[in-house]
Amino acid sequence: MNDDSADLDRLFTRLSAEGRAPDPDDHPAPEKLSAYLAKELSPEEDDAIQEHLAHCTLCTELLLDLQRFLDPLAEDLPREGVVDFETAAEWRELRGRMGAKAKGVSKPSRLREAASLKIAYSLAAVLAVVVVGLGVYILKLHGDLKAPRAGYHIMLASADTRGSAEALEGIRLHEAPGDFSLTLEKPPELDFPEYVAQFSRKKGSEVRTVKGLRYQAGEGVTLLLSKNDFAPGIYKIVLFGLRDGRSRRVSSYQFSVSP
Amino acid sequence: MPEPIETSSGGERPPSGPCPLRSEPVERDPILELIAEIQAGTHVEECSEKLFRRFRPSVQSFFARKGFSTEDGRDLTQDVFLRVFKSIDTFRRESRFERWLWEIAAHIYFNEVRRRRTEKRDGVETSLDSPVENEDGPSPSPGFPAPGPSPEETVIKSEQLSAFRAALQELPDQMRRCCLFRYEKGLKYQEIAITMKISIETVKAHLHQARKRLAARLEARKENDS
Repeated sequence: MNDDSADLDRLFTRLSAEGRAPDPDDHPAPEKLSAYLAKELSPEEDDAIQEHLAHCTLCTELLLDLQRFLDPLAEDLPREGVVDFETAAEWRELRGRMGAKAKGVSKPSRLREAASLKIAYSLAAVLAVVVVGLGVYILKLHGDLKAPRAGYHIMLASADTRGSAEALEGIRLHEAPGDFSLTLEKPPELDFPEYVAQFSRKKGSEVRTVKGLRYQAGEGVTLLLSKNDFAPGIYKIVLFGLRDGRSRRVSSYQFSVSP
Repeated sequence: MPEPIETSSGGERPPSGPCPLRSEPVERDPILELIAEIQAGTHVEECSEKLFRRFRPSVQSFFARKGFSTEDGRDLTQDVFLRVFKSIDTFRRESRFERWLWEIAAHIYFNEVRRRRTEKRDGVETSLDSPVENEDGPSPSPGFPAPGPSPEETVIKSEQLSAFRAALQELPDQMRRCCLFRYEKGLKYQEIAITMKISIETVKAHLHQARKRLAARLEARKENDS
């Protein structure tokens, strides 16, 4: 690099370090920016937008975002063959909001109602803990808890009804000191080439998903699990059947892990 | 019923089209077919869901790049699709859906930025960690000038910098803008090419020419000074 080039680099660095002038207050409408990229503007308008871009980081970044919408990166595309529970949940919520709009119920943006939602969630969480705690307490009273084994102790409970320690209708537990297995049955009319089991904490938001499960005739869908992977608490398992990239809920159960 | 939309028009679009924002009527665009079904009122639920599944990652990642938290990004993404499905009847299938979707996302982004700015207007927060601006730009620690050149050197450099700015202003518009995008905004060649709608080769040529002209100006100035 010669002296001139080094001088230039220093000056450019200095210019950059001086701090850019703040973005202009007025910005072209998004429709104008997209029309600019589509070469739909007059030469004068085109020049004015380009000059604005040269001084406006916000609009430059927006324009590059538009290009990324048009030519998305792999990370901006849905992953093929992967069941996206989050998207499914988001879609259900959106559908609910669309339904509410259609019925003329004006639902405020969640950003604005975050505080009230938080209160509602907190109340729901407290209620859930009380209900589950009461359930466990009643089971203990009935002497259904087994004597503690080495390591953590697993106990089943159906999602809808309270159950016993080792077997409930539709679910069987086999427990070893370090591991345990759960065998889930399914309604005979629901048959899928693949199943996914989703574990969620009753308290908190930890989620574990076991994919690629198969139904064994006469047995069920068996999950082999390590106790080390589950902290003490109450878990909900939802079994989903998969076909052609679509999922359907098959059954749900609960189990608890206690030290 | 259209086929699943994993074969997106975005990623697999052939590069031959004259403009990436206009849809090609000759080609079969699965996205536009979905929209046509929704607009016609057939298979609305299924097609809307497919549209949502296909474009949710793009919109969510758009808001993530803008610095919104995951939760806020989710909310804003929902707002975008709420508006998309509410006004989908107004979408004319002459341009690409992605363009229309981006326009809606950009409007919602602008509105959110404006809303937050209004909320903050009454209480300006200044972080103690934020750099304090002085004559030489941001200093590394609050309240203390940056260690560096002596006042005399600073004056010389400021003069040099002013002359450099003036020389930059005299460059032809495209060349000057190339320099601003490259050296002030730190854009890559590819990004400058997109922003200015020119080829990467033209970007490189502009920058090369600009450097030559600016170097000549600096050289001439050095000779004058000596």
